[in-house]
Amino acid sequence: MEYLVLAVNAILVKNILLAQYLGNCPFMGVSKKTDTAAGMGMAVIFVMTFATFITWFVHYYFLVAFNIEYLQTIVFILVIAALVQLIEMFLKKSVPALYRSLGIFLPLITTNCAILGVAVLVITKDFSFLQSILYAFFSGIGFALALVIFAGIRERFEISHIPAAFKEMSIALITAGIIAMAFYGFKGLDTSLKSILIK
Amino acid sequence: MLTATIFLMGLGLVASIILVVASKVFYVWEDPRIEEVSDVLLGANCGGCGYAGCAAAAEAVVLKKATPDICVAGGFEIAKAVAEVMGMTVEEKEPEFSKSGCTYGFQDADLKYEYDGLYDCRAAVLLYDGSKVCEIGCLGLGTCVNACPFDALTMGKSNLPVVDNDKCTGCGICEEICPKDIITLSSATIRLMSDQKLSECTAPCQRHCPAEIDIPRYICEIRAGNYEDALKTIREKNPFPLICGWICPAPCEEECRRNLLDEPVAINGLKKYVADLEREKGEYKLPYLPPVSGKKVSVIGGGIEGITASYFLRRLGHDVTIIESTEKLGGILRYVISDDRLPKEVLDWEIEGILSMGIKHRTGIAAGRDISFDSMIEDGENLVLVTTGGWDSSQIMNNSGKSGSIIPASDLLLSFLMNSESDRPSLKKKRVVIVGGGNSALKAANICLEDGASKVCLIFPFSREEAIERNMDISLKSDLEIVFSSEISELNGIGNDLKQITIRNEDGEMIELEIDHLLIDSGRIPEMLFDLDKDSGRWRSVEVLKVFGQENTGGIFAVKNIGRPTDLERVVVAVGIGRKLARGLHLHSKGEEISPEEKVITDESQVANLFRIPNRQALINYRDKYDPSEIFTEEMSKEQAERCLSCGLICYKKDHQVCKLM
Repeated sequence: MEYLVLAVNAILVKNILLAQYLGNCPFMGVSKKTDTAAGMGMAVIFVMTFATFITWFVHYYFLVAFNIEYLQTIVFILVIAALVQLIEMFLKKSVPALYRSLGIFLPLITTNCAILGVAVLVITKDFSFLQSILYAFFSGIGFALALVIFAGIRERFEISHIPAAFKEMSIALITAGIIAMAFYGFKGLDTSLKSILIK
Repeated sequence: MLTATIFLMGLGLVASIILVVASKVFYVWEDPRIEEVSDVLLGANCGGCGYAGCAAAAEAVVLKKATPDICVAGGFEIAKAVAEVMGMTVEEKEPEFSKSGCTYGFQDADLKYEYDGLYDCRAAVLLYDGSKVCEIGCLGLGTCVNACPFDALTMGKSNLPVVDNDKCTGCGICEEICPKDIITLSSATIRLMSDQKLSECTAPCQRHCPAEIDIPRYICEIRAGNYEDALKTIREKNPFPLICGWICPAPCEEECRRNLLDEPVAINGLKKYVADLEREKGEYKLPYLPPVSGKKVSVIGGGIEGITASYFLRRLGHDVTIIESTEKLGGILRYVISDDRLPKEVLDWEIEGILSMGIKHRTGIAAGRDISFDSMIEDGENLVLVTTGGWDSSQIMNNSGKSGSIIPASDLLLSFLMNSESDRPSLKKKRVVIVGGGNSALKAANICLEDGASKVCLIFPFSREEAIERNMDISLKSDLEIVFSSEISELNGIGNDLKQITIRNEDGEMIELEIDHLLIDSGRIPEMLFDLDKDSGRWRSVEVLKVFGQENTGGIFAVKNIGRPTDLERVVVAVGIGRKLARGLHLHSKGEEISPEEKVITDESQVANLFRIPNRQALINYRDKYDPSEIFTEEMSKEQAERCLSCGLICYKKDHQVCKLM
């Protein structure tokens, strides 16, 4: 039950893109078509889970052990970058089909703040290992969900009359704001769910 | 501080060691040429080639799944660069440009309703096929313009796409996206290879021209004063504008929509005017000629049909030699048509102009008498096209059918029956096949049997019942076999001998028959193409005139059946057939199937057309007199061109400005 609340929290209430405003670059950059958006979403789910998996260990078994937690940001960036490189090589050799579908998105998200953000968040929230992995996975799903919804709307812009001043990026930013407001409606859903479940 | 430094250095070291090891373990060999080819490609990722992007296309080229000219957008330069990387060669192709097929915008076209919905043609087409009454009218919402990755398309002032040929790369994206198939790729080669289709905006005059000339277009070019362009447009479908200008009976003018108002535009007169201008200048303007890269072809018969076929074959890049039995080219036009109807200088001027394109000719050589079939087929590098016309042609031209059989061991039934016994070929112990039904065929069969033929087989195009109805004596004799409801689909043989024919019966079954001699019961030897298989040394006939698009082709001797003319009674009909022959041969030489074109306009097809003109008064105001016998001055030609209504299927010029020029 605890994990259900975690999932609702990560996907809807604290959506990484729309409530925490992390990873806005791909949110604007790869949201012109739903199929590329879906590809990007999959890649983020994949990398986010893996990165959190590794950084959790790095944090508790190295940084805490050597008492150098203040290096967290720089170490996490380094670890995540190396990890993505490694995953890319591994996929290219062993799972070429997956490599071809995720291929161009993987390098794009090596240094993405959404990945780093989640890795840091699970530490600051003092999550257990399993909680951390699940939180990262659900955050990735939240990312993919928001991205695909946004791309679906942007696809419609292609065939709509948009005043010249609002064309391209401005209408996209306005739309992103409106979706974020819509997601604001989920606020409190996790706490009320929790209270129902505890009763 | 020290711990931190050591830790970070250690972490960096470990990460780099892991990555180095991984790059060895997970090494995947990639052809370096893939990268080189992708560098050469445009990088627009337009997808016009059918691959996901330039990188995917590069991979396909390196893996030999695609040819170096894969980049449809890049043209010859890119293809050459790719071929260089791959160590291959490419042939230059004529560039293709997008062309919009609709010429009347919303203000001029008849509308079903006013559309005010999603701004995309693909959405608009869902509502009763779009708002224009014309089924092939442009919806004008600019879906193609948005789709063009090269910014080559813009929306013109009458809401029709305008192509910028400098920017257009011929990638074909717009063609793909247009829900009404209005914008298509086009080049002179494509245009001269294709027949008029139901999906095209054609004018009534154009539909009734046997040569299918784009009449509204050339009249429009004349109106704009572009006389050379007008001539170019005519020559895309007809290499003889001047000759037709003199003697064509102009079926186009009978159909001119101006007949509904006053009198037709002098379409033929305008054609003659531009052709005369060129002749006065004395400089024959050559069309775009691709390098000779195709096959060597021998064309037997130097009449209009043969010359037309040769002209278009040369324009398609083939090496053509015309073989003519008389001393000069021109056929009936030279030997039958009188001088005052068609001066010989006119004939010579056009024929010499066509020959200057690099078409070889050998005159005074009769096929089958002076030159044997096997030497022709070898000389023509496997391909021989027969365009000799009928018995009438050879009889009229003082050549009483004694030129020998053009096709090995075959004669026209008429010549066979007319010849005396001594002139007849010896048929002793031979297997003879006679094509065509009629008492003359039966009579010939009896003569063959008397002459000692070992077996005679008659091939009737009709059924047994019909033969009885016609009071034909079909009682069985030994050595005489009659096959009903069948047609010949192929002849083949070796060297100068006919060996085998293939018969298609009414169920579509193919039957092969061994044969030594063939008699053809039709007015003319039909147009035929022969092809030599180098390995076996066997030649065979190819059904080259399948272009007419009927399901039952009637076989290679289907002279009397629908679609094919019984004889080429007008020069413009011969021109039309000549062009179709060239198309068939070109497709065959590339190894493609000669499939009939789809949705071609025939006499039977239903075309949306306009049979009355409602606002007569506005148009009749600028009527003037036209006397066909007058020699045109520039002013008169302008006046005539101005009278053209620039018709489409339904639209026509309602004011003076519109001009069908796309």
